[in-house]
Amino acid sequence: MFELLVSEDLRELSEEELDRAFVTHENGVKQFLGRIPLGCIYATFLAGIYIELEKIVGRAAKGLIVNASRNRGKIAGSAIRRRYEKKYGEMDDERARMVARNMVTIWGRCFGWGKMSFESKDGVFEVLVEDSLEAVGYRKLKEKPGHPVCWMLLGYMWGLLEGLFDRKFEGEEVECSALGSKNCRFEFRMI
Amino acid sequence: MSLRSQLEDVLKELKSTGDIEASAIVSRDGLLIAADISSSVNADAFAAMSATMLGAAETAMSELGKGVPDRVVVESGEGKIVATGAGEKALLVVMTTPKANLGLILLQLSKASKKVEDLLG
Repeated sequence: MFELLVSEDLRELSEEELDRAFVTHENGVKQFLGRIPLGCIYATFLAGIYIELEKIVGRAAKGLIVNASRNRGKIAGSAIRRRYEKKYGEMDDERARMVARNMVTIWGRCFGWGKMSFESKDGVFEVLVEDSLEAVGYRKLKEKPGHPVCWMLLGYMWGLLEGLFDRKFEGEEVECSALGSKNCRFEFRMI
Repeated sequence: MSLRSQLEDVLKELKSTGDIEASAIVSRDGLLIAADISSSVNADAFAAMSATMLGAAETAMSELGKGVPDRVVVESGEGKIVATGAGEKALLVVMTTPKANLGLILLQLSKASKKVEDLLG
């Protein structure tokens, strides 16, 4: 499974093929990469938590979720990098880019985080997401936020890139479908 | 001069008044804009925590019908943290030495937060 993640372009695989490749079932529990338990949540679950958190700490809710997600994404990215380098030697930027794209493909098609695409050019990475889980949650709750809301996705992708590339990035959700855009669009820049 | 450089200059000037060990300009939603802080401190986490302190204080005061707080001050034997609003978009936060003169710090902070507000528009 790990070999496939770090060596093949997964965009051509169907949802079923990706599930067969990366998701196993053990004692009734789905597992990603044979070790990480998976579970489904309602699309409204995260949105509901964010709305409640904003009632307590105001706009700072975003910083809490984005920073926490970024830290966990970085741990995941660094773990993939370390595992790769232990087995194959140094991970160059081209390999890191491919793994990042594959992770985005898996999140979108296996995990249902939205229909996602990943492009990169001149150190700028753009991720487009149609029906992001978080934005759909806000739409389902008929909430109209005054700001982009895909905080978990922003933070986790941001951290994953920092972990995979072992470098600092700047990140931002520049368009969000919870605000009426067709897609959510994220930009990440190497510093 | 870039906006970031101008904001960093405000922080440098603040530090030159003495007793300020670290400072940061943070967006109201908890993301770091500029910082003058030791590399041993996680500046992003510090930013998120500062915005959360001020945000939670605003909610508490509002719930109690006591208006919008001017600042949050946290004191311990090792030092003080002061977070104050710097306009609609940002807040300014400083860490001081334990023996810092709070009155003087608040005065400097008030001037600096006005500059930040003007710079961020």
